[in-house]
Amino acid sequence: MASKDGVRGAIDTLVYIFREGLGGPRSYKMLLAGLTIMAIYGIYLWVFVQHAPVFLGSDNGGLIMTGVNENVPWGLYISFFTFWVGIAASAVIFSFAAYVFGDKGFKRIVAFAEAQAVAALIITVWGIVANLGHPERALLLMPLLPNKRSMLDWDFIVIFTYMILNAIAFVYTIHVYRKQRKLPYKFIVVYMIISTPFAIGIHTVTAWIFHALTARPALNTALLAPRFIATAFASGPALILLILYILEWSTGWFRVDLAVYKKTLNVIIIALTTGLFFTLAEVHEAFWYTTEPLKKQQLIETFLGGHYPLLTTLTWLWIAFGVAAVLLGILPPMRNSKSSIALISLLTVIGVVAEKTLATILPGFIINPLGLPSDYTITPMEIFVGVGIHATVFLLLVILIRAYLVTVKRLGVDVF
Amino acid sequence: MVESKNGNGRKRVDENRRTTIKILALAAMLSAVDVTVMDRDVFKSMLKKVGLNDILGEESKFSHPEYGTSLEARARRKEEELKRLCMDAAEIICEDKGEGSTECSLAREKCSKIHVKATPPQKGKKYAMALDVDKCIGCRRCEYACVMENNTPWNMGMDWITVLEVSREGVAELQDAKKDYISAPKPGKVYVPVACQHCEDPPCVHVCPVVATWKDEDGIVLIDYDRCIGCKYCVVACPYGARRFNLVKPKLEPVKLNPNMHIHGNIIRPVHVVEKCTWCVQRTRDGGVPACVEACPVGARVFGDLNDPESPIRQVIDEYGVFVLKPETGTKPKFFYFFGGAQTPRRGEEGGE
Amino acid sequence: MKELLMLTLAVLLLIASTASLHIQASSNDNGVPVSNYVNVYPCKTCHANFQPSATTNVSVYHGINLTVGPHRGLQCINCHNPESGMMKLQNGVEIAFYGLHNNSMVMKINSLCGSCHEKEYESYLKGAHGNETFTCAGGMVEEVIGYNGVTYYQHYCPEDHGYTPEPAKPCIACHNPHNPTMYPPTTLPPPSERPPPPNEDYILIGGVSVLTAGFALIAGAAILNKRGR
Repeated sequence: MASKDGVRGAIDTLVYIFREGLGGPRSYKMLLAGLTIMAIYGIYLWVFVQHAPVFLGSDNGGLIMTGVNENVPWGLYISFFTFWVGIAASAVIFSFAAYVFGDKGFKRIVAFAEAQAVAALIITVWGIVANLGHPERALLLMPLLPNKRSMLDWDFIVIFTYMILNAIAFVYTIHVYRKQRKLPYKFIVVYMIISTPFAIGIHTVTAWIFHALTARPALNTALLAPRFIATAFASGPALILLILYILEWSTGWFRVDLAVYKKTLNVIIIALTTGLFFTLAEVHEAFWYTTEPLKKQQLIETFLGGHYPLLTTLTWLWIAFGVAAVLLGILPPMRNSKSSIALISLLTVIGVVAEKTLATILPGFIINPLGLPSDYTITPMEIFVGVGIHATVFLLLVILIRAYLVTVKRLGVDVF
Repeated sequence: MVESKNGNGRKRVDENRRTTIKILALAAMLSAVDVTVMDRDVFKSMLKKVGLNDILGEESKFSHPEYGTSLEARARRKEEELKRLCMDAAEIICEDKGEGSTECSLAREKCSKIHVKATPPQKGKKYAMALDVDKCIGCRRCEYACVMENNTPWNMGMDWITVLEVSREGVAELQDAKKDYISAPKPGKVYVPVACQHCEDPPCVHVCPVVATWKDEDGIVLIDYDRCIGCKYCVVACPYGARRFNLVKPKLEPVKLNPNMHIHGNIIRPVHVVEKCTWCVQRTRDGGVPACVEACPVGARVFGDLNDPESPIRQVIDEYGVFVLKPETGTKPKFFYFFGGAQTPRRGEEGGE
Repeated sequence: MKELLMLTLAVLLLIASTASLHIQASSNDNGVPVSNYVNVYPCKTCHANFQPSATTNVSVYHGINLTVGPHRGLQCINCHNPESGMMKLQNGVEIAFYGLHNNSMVMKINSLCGSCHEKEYESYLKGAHGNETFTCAGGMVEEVIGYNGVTYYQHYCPEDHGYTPEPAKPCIACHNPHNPTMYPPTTLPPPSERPPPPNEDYILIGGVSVLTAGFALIAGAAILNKRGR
């Protein structure tokens, strides 16, 4: 009986989220329309052009429309995967601040982190699926998890679990706040105990997908997972700060304490410094003495340039923006205004996007395992399918955030 | 408190930056002067010598349960489907070239000959291949034979074998290898054809999330094209760059078709699946030899059963000793390289043409 | 006259060698020679009484020059039997030409090569000299114009089971007995790379217009939102 009520309550809340999230003033509807156009075009390209031979059985199209080839089997789609997994993992920082340390300012915004984690994980899964040759087979086979040795299976487990955990937490938060109640302590304890290992786990397992491969020496470093987590804990909070900043500007009533910004900035600076330090450590490993020739060649391509300038540009963009963000972040005047903190966050996000997307995976591919230089040209197909994926998920994120804001605005009592 | 922290941090970051620049400058200088002189022994050091006992002692950890009636039935279904598709393609040729043309009759004949096998591995066999680096002249005939034997999609420009031109003198790292040479064999160069090495510990098999690829009892690493989800993880994991991905729907050319097919071998692949060298499983499982061995004009390739003391591969291992490529990856390949001693004369060299 | 004979022989050999693989499989050890050069050409009219002594100096006979190449310094009678008028070899086998004669006849010469090149011969017999092929009951070899116009010899077996491996070629198919260095054949061009992606202009144009429209709407939303406040 209780479970039946619980299911009905959950459905009720879901309906509530989408009803509130889809309604709104004209400007909000325009925002939704803009995202929808891009989403529809991207999904159209994916289903009817790129995967037409699989989904529709047509003779034309196929992954040839993308830039992937036998030497660079993973391209832009998988680079989205690595970046957004990091964003999702960083939700745990806000959960910790809010639930473990009991910070009131963070309790107000922890739901954003949960919504962002759900959205980010949808992008990661979609990024993998768009890169898959036969998504329909994957949907049948992956849930069976036939090969426990494959890191991809483990990633499947942790990503889906973490996605479901965050979705439950978000929906439950709204469910409780609607009823003008506080989140029950029991729920928080259980949620934190389960979700924390998974938050670290999603990113660790994602790094392990790449790093345990002797075929790609540039990625075959145990530092990859720590590096991923360091930059993830920089970019995720930075993105949340940007979202908060935009929300404060656009709603006019929603306010977040400057203290929240400052504390988050500390996390960003520490994580960013660690990330830069890891990059330095990699540089030292590759260039100080001698190392495996293929690794050296791949890292020369990455840091010093070679036949693929985009990779070097992205790498130095990360170093430049990362250093700039750290330097600005430790200047006292920059720490005392929301807009300057938002600027630092923007620098961080751009820097980490440069590092975590193509500059992470391409070093292993740009010189193939036999030492031959290979090329990767990003095609319009990849860009617009990518835009479509992002637009779809941002659409969902906007809806979730609006539903949360509406709920919070209606709150009569202080539940935080 | 906050103030003093900031001051220290700034200094440290500046230091890091300076160190980075220093390291990068040093690295650039070092890489500019990494020219060393190397002879055949150093080239050999690139390859790791393998003993016979090591090879025979290794046990296959992987096997795939599915052989037998269900696979046979699937092969029959595939055969029907391919025959139908092939006949459709043949009809187009017949309309184009006329009903009485040779192409038309040839295409129809080929289509009727299509036979999809599901031969299981023979008990007690363990295949291996060896290649004489001294003999190989880099003529690429094995590549071409492979494409023809295995019905490799021509519209993809795909080839399972990559022939590398490696310097015999100077720095013989794989990184300095060339793949697009025009004339061969050149003096001072050796040619190293690389295809699937059918490793004992294949990373591609470890990583496949859906067990679409496995190592069979006879040592051949195979792919189930109907199970592959096309995630390309195995392509990423292969240290020899041996795996290929079907980016488009393969085109069926009845006249040039090889009608002798194996369901895990050279059957026409569906779109978006991974494929690679199968040691011509449609030939070898029935007692034949791979197409590259047959096509090699200098007899550089040797193929045989490791468990049979009379087999050619055992003679090569006993007599010359064999090496493997990229031993540091720990994959224990079953594709060996050896120096037979008798070098095919190079073009432009004394004694050559 | 001699030149003419050589020319004819050369042309014949050329024709024969192009069809050699085909013949090799189609004649398939049934013992019937496809053609018999020794019968067609009047070798025996001269060679019936040709009795060179063991000390006959090596010089140019039939364009054969034993002063160069790896076999330099050998005498004719090291391989040819003078008692048969040079028409038989020292292992008692009659001279046969690769491509002109039945494959099994040519294969008999191999043991003569093996008498000196023991190690290679052993490898060859085991299939470790590289050249191996297979035969099957009722099988044949088809010539197919293959990838990039390169000829490929495709095995066709009615029953695709039970192949028997065997040495593919006799020694003299690759090694000219009088100058046995194996010269490299031509190098085939590198196979084409992955084809470029098909024309994607329409995707680009559509994408740019969709992006423009989308961002225009989003910008509009931002402006409207600000004015609304």
